Amino acid sequence: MDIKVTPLGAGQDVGRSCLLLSIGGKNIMLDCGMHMGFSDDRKFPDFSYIVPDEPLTEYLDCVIISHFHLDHCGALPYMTEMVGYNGPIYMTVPTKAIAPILLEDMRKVAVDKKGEQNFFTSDMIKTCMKKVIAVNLHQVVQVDADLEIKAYYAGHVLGAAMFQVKVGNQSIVYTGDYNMTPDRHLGAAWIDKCRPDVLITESTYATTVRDSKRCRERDFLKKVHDCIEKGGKVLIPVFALGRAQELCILLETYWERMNLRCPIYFSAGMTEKANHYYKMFISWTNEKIRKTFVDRNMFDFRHIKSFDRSYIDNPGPMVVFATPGMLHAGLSLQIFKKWCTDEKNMIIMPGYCVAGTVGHKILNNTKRLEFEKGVITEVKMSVQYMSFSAHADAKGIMQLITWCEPRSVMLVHGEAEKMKFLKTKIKEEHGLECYMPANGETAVIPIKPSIPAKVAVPVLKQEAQVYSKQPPDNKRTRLLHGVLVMKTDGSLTILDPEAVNTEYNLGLHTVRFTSTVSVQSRLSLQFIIERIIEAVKPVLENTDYTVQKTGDNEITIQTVILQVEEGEDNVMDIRVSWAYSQDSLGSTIFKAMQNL
Amino acid sequence: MAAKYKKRALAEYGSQVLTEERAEPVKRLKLSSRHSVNSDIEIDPILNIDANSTERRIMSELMKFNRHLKLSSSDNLESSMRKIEECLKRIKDNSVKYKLIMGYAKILTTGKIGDISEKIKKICEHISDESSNKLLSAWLQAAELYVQTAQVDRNQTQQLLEVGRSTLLNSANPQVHVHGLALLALLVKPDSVEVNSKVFSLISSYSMSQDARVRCAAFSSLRKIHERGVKLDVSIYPVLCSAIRDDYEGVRIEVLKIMCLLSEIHPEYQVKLDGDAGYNRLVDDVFSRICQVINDVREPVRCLAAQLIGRMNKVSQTFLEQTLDKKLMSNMRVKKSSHERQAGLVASGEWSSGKKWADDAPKEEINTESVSLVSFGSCGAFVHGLEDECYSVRVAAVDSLTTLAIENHDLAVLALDFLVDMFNDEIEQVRLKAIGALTAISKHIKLQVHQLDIILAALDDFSTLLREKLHGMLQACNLATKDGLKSVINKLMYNLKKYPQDKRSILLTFKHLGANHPDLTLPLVTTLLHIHPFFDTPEPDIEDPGYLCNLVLVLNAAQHCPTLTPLLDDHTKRHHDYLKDTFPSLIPSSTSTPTTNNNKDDSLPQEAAQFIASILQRVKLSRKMSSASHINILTASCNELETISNVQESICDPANFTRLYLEGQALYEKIVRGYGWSHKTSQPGPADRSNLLKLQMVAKKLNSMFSNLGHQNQMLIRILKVKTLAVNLVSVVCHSNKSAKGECDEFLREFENILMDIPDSDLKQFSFIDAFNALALTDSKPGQVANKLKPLLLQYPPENLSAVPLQIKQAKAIIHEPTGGCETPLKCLAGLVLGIRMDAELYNIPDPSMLRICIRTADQVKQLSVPKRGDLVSVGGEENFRLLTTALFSHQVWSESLDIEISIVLYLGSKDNLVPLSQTVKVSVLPKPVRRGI
Repeated sequence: MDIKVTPLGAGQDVGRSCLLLSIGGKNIMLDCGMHMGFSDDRKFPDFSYIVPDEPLTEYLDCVIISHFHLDHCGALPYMTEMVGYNGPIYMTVPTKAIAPILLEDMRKVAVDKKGEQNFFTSDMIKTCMKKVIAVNLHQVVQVDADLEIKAYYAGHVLGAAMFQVKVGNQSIVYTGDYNMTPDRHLGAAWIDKCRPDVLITESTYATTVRDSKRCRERDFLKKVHDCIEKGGKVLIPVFALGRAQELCILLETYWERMNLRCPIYFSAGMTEKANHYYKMFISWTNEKIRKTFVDRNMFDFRHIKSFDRSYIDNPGPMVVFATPGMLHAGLSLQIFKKWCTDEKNMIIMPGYCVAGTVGHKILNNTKRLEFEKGVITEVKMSVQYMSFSAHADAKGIMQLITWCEPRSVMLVHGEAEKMKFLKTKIKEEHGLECYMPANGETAVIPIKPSIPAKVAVPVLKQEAQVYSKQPPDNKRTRLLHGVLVMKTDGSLTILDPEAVNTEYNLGLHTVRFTSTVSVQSRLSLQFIIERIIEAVKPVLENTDYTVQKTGDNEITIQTVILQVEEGEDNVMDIRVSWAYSQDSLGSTIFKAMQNL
Repeated sequence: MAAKYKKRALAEYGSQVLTEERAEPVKRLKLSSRHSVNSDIEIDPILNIDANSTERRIMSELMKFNRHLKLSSSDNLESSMRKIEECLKRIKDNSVKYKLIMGYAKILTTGKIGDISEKIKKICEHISDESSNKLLSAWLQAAELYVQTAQVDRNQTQQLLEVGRSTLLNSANPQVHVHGLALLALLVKPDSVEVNSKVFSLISSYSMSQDARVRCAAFSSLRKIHERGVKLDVSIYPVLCSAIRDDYEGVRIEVLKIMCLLSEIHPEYQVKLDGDAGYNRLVDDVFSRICQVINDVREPVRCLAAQLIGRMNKVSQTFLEQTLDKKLMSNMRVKKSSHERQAGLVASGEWSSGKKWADDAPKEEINTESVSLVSFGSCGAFVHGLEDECYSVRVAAVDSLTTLAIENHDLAVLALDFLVDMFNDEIEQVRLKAIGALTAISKHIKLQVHQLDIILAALDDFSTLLREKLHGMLQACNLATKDGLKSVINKLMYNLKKYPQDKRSILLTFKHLGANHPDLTLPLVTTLLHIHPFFDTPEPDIEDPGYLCNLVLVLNAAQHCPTLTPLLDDHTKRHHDYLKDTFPSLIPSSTSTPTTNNNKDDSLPQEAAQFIASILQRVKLSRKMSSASHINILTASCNELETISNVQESICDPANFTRLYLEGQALYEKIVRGYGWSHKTSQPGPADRSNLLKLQMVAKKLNSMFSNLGHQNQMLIRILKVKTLAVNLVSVVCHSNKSAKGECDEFLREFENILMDIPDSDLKQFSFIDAFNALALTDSKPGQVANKLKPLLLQYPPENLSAVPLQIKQAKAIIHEPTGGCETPLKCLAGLVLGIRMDAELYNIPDPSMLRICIRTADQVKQLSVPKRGDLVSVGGEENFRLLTTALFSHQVWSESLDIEISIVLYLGSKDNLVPLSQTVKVSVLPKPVRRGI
């Protein structure tokens, strides 16, 4: 049976990750995200593709969420509560803890601020989260008798995981978003050589090979340090979770190292709650934090305090992290308005900004902004851009492919143009088939059907004993002698023939070949037998078989029996009979008899 | 009445106690009598089992026996072996049998068993008969253990080889295979070619086994064969190449090791490349393969690969340089790394437009065909290693890169940017390593301004060690431009302002900066010293640390740059004269004649050695004079030596040693020739008593502080110690009523010790020891011993030093922090602990476990604390340390602040037995009472 993958979102596109996977008769949904760029129906995946106007429970075996970013889990309450799904949902423990905070926050913004209709409610988030089953890293979860899933560490954000889905002997790995270079608070993604049939990988940075992260960090720190040294204020607009913690750790350790006194503030809110979870899930962070948390939990920030609006006008240098990240509203914009007129101050944009936001404008070097009608503000503060994105770059993606050795690769979560490049490279350098389905397009990955059969231990042992008579050699063939038994439920077993006999109470049948050679001779029977023995000897020269005389007119060599009968007219009939298993020996002896 | 109540109360309490006691017995502590290891050491242990003992008993006896195996005699061992054999026949349990066999093997390896070949034959028989896999592997291990420790003759080798081979072929059990292979590897000897080739082919065929453990054992056996002196053949290389992609990490690790060995044996062998027709040198091929493993899934493998890269020094240049290669791109366009961008600025001589956004925007489009995302060969190995997730891999990569770059100029230049990047690592050890690495390769590189910017940023670091290491790096480096030097000076000044405690190390840095870059300093002199062509500028304050630094820089540069001196103002020259005397080590004595200066430095120790010798000669001659003038000469010599040790640092240690010894001699003379010595009845005066105490101190110092003495001197100071003990004994016996038993014992014990270390033939040399030994005292009563000693002590004063080797090392400690002299007291709550930051340098400490921090309070109470092992960082040489720690102090309330004295001492067994290593530093402390009611 072939593996089929249909992206409902994230097919040659970023955002709204949602893949339908059908493997070995099981249907699985990988991620269930929303698109941040749309506010109409396109923000959620089109679940009617699965089945129109009906709950999905019967059509899906399970849902797997890779991490808590909204483009990977944002549509989950909508799907479970409004479309209807009651089956199991799997996510890692930190994801289960943090995802509801983000969902709730998004709901507030969408419903209260933008006034969207037909949106899920707080209660729906709660009931949805109750359906979630938390998994741990490397824990093999048996969803049902055939389907099992296993999570691997993925870096990217706290609790991000790659999932291996296995049905029988077919398996796929879905990476979600991942990062192959470690950063200040997370380790690098890791997977073992699990050799899946398909590796479904993200490809955000398919055409980028990045400079070392140390350069970026050092640039960032130097800029901040220089600015506060001159007495300036630094504003860093961030999203509350993920990169914000990374930058906090970065600044916190730098402050510690350099013994700086200048205050760092973080505009509070949901970050408090999230930081609490960060402190708890130490085992999901990187080597340094894991090793030092006994002395001191790195997320117990000493230098970073929570921000109050009244601090905006405080004199002297300070560093402020403020939400939201794109400067379109809220505290960060308010602070920006106050500070942008002083050239000593600095703003650092750590991520991407959507067109139309103030962040996008200032990044494009707009020096005059109109916040209120008719009032034009001059931006004098220095504007810096730094990318601290935690996705794997092209080299990282290739590295992951080398590590897990898949049979084919599928690219999702990226732009089509970039995917094309990576696709050719994967074909060239790994020699693997590569798929990049668009949204709604089904990729069919042909799988060679294989039928598993159990082999009884004695059979294996016997074979091993025989095989190890000579030093091991890869080129030598290995022969397994047994009976294939098919049970009524379709399972196959290879058993020892004798064991089968006793179990099913069947008589042992041997297939023998018998052939007669007639020899014209006047010699006595005795003499003929002597001749035969002599004729056989050269055949047996290089083996350890011996000739036994078992009767007056009978010779046995292993299973080969030679009988001589006196016929009429001086004709001797030599009957050669051998067992099926020793066909080659029998036929050579028979040949020798013919030449007698 | 009251008394009655009291009685009653007491009685009640008493009864209460009683009832409690009665309630208790349930909880009685049960002390099981444990056999302590020491108690059951027998002289000649024997295995106490027989055919009827239980399995449990056999196990415990076996363990006991194994512990004391070495004490057993050969007869007992033989009988033990027989017992084991008997038990083996009877016992059914395989685990017990396994243990018995191992015990059997251990007895064999003691080398006390007579008929070995018989036993070997027996083992061989067992190996061929045994059917249980577990026991079979036990017997194989037994043979393996035996072959490892004992010599095996040709016959036995053949026998074992046959047995081993047949076992391998007859069993399918991986455990048996593992031990069989290990045994075979041990049979290989460099001279027996036939055996070797047989074993070699057999073992290498097992590298294809289906079981990972067996493959692993096969490769490690191959490595063992190499270690036994048999060269590996290059023909196994293709096997290794395929095995390096093994699924099992243990196999990959072994293969890496063998590959590395192979490349060392046959570096120039030509390997055919697959695909096109081309050849690579083996060492290059191996190098690139190991480089690829740096991307392995597992950390131990990556770590090993990173370590091994550093060991391969015969690799071609192109392969080496590829290790630092990394092409960046962004959306299919070439992108320069930030280092390249910065370097571009320097090269073009232009300045950035100032708009940084999009400054790093990618430029040209890349041809899709030309990019390769999977790294081939050695490409980017170090780039990956240095960015690895695991700290151990990063450290190994830095180490390897350093070792390779030290030898290789071009690689060093390339490596610079990457090492500088490591300054920003999150783990301090890695940062320190990176700085150390940069120091090591500094001779190859010239630092540009943009590189300095990054390096100097680390001077803000809070860690003292890191800053000092960086100072060390700056001392060694080469700067390319005047601007570079200027920025270094500025940053160091800033560093000095921020961390004043770095002054010493910064001054030293300025000294080296000046001496290394006289030409770059020249154009900066006028600005640094504010020299104006027309006007006289005010004379700066010599105490100003900033000015001092500049002076050190300029004066050291002037030494190598004749045109510099005329530029200096008069007052600068005056300052020079002053500084010459205050900082002799930092300031060259004259600015114009550097060459003669150098010569003088070389010849000085020679002269000093002569000086010491002449003093010793004088002392020797003065022996014949009256005791008063002898003492005078000794004292005078001491003074001379003290002066010279202060002036000339290079011979400070031997001079100190000589001085102490002479001082000891003088004190000894003073005591022995003193009035109190010859007149038994009179009480010793305070002078005598203090002389004795001083002498004891001197002997203690001589015996504990010096190393590298040479045997002769070692004996002399030990004898001085014995004599000091003797003098002490005599004085206690003669002048006091208390028992001298302890002193006597101590003396005799020390005497015995020393007697044991002197071979009989040399005894004549040490006349005092010889004479006392000749008395052959049978009685150890203090009075008698003292009586006998008294004339001997007079007769044999301490021997003169004959020669003092210049390499004598004295243990020393210099406390840099706390500096002392601070008037504001450190306040703490009484009864709680006050931490005082300490920074000290320790020299020539062979055994750091003897170090203590001693705090003496005004009421003469000593508090000793052991410095944490982690706070001792070894610097430059094994016996030199840097101590960065907090000394802990606690005391009850004082009404006003008082000084406490902090010093570093050697601890010789008790609180009174201390040898000071450093000057004491006074710190004012005020423990305040705890305020109640907060």
